[in-house]
Amino acid sequence: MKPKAIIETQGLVMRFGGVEVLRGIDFAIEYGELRCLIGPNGAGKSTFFKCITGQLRPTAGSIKFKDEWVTAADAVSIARRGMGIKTQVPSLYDGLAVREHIRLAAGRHLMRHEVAAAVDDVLERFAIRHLATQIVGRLAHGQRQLVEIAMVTASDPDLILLDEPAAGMTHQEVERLAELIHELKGNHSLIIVEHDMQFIQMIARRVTVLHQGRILLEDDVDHVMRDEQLRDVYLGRRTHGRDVSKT
Amino acid sequence: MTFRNSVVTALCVAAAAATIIILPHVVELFTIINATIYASMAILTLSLALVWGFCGIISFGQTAFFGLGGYAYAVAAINFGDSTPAIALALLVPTLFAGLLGYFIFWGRVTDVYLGVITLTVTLILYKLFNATAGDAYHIGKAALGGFNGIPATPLMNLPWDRGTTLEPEDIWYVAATLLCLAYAFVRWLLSTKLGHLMIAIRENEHRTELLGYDPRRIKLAAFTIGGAMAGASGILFANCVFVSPTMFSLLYTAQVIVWVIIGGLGTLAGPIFACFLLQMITAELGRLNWLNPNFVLGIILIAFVLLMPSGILPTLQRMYDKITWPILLQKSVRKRPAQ
Amino acid sequence: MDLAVIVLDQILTSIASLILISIGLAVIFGMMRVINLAHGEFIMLGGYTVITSVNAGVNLWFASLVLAPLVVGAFGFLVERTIVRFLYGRMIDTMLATWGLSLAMVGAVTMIFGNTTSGVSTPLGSMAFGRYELSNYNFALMGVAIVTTAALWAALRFTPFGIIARATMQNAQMVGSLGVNSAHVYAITFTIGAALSGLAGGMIAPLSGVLPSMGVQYVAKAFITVISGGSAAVAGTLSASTLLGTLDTGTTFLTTPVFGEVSLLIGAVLLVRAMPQGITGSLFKGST
Repeated sequence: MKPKAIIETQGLVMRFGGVEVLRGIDFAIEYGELRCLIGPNGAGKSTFFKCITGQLRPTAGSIKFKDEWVTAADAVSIARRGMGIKTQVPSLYDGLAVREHIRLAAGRHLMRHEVAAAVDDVLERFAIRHLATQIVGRLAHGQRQLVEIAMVTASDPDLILLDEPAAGMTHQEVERLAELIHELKGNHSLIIVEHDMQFIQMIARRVTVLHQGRILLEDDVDHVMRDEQLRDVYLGRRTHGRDVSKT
Repeated sequence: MTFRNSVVTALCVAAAAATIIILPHVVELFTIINATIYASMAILTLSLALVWGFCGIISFGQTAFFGLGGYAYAVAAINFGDSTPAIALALLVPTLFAGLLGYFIFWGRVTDVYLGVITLTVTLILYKLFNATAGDAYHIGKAALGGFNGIPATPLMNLPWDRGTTLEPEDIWYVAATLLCLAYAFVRWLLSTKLGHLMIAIRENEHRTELLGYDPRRIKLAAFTIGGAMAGASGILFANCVFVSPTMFSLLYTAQVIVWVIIGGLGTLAGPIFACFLLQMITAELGRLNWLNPNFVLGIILIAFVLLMPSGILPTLQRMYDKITWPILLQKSVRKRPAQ
Repeated sequence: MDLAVIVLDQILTSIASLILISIGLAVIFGMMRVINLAHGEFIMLGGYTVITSVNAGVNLWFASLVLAPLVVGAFGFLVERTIVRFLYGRMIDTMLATWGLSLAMVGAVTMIFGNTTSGVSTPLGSMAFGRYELSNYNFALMGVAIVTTAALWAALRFTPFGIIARATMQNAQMVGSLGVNSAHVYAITFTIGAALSGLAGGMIAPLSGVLPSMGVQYVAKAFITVISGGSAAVAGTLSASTLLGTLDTGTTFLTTPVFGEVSLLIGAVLLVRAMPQGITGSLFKGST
């Protein structure tokens, strides 16, 4: 039996004024899959995320989420259908405490008496219990990223989108993040945009490469790593521990 | 709620009750009527403190609901001859209007300055419309709208179970002051509920709240409608201690409420109430003293205030309080207080 | 046919008045995003300058076109240096401070001039047109409105200061790194906005007389016009004034002046609802 796709885009086009940022994306991932989305800056990764989360209305093409057409749906309804996103620039409540964030996220789909337990569970899993009463605006960048990921997870979405989750994190935090993502995989589907190739190799199975609004390559992580063209030009700053930008 | 909080709350309630009951016996009638006016304006201020300070909606139109509540009460009371159904109707009208206006604004995704303009304009429209209702042609049932002069003989509230017994000014004070306390308690409670938390979330980051799956339009509509109902209630009280006229829709009243919220501290509840009382008392005193033009003095006070105490009375007092008490409380730990 | 000309005259006068009372605010709020709640009082000051100087023997046109802008511009400069410049970016504080300024100005003028209306007669007489009489002063209003708008647009578009001013409003840091003192730019821009309001007051004074509290009727309309117009100062004010002025006058002719004003306000509400970024935020993007 062919595995079903949790999300599928067909011919997705996004045009701003005169600029075509997405030029026909045919993309799909299966239930429980973890896919990494890579590509140089300007390739259209964040725009792609904005389209599928409903923040932007695509110029053309269609989007199917959990077997329903959601091309014209707005952000609220798509979030309610089970999609959560950690945005490229962390979008948090700078004046509220960490616990409040998790509570708001969990409270949307849980009954009142279930929320407290769910909040504690998330705080525990992400090992941020010691930050529970801290005001988010005062946290370090890496911690803010973690809180946002925790918040998104707390709303229990079927599809989790992470836009550069490892940015600004210490090496320890990155390792822990990789573990967390492994735990999330299976129960949730994930699409992760990243530049950090070491991190990608820690977590990924399949990688999609975006370039200039089109899918350049979609393959297993090992094959993508070995692709000469990509390695020299399109992959971020690091491959196999070497900084190719200085070559 | 911690034990300490419960004790503080109980003390505050007791103090408030004592003040309300004792006041008519120690001051003259004129002061009581003024106090009633201040109390009704305080409820209006509270409505803006909620809508703007906690939900981020820049409403320049609270006075629209204030005036509608007042006029609806006056018209209904004159026609029904009984204040109880009049009050019910007078609460319904501004609430409905707020709901409709809110739907119009929030479903159109209108935000900040533009929202301010729409609400201000609506208030202005009402002002001009009611101002032009002079002459016998303009009446609703038995109530003549009176144009610029308004409706001078508004029937005062009567006991709900005995329409023959009208309330005395002292009684209206009791009603107003109690209502103010109840309104304050209500808003505090509201802010502790999920809806209240969502209002604050919208104010902090509407986009993120959307991405979590909450519809900001509905939350803002709820806040706006509740604020409209409160403003309408304050209008009913105002009708009972002053009289109903287009001045209720005036730019002056609109600006005053905004000023009180800002001075009291945007994002707090007690501050604006306090500022409302304080500034009205100052204005009244300046008018009495007739030393310099009261507008001039008030204006200079405001300017000085902004340049010296920009975050508002309450936050500044809170900061001063923190600066004094923190060192004492934290003598043991070496923890450094985060910079403001 | 005669009636059509009269209506046209009224419409153009109405548009011209709206432009005049709004253009100063378009600079101060439209460009600098300073919510100046004392805008009506700047207009009032211009009016009082004219009345006082005419009563002292100064020529009316000199008073309206030169003195009023100079006096109010100078006052505006003072206000910017002593109050506004500490509050840039702080919208709420600016609102409070300028509201205080408005009260203080009304109070001060009441103390000096008293609480009654004074006026001067409208100059230039009138022109007979069929069965009607057209006030020639209307043409003066239209003329001043056109010249002012054109001059402001040209200044912003083509003069070095205009370009620097627009750049500063968009990105003060960038402009600073090019060697421009943004504080000076703000001060001058605010002064120009104040001067324009003074001009408006000067031109309006012969029509309606002056009263310390006259500002209040202008400030709301000016804000509504500027905000409906959107982000482009000149194009926005022009388009919004044209639309709203026509609506007002048209409805006045069909019904009453009250409904005329109300229709202007309703029109603004619908406009902002349909175009939540103002006219020039949705159409005519990129205009000045």
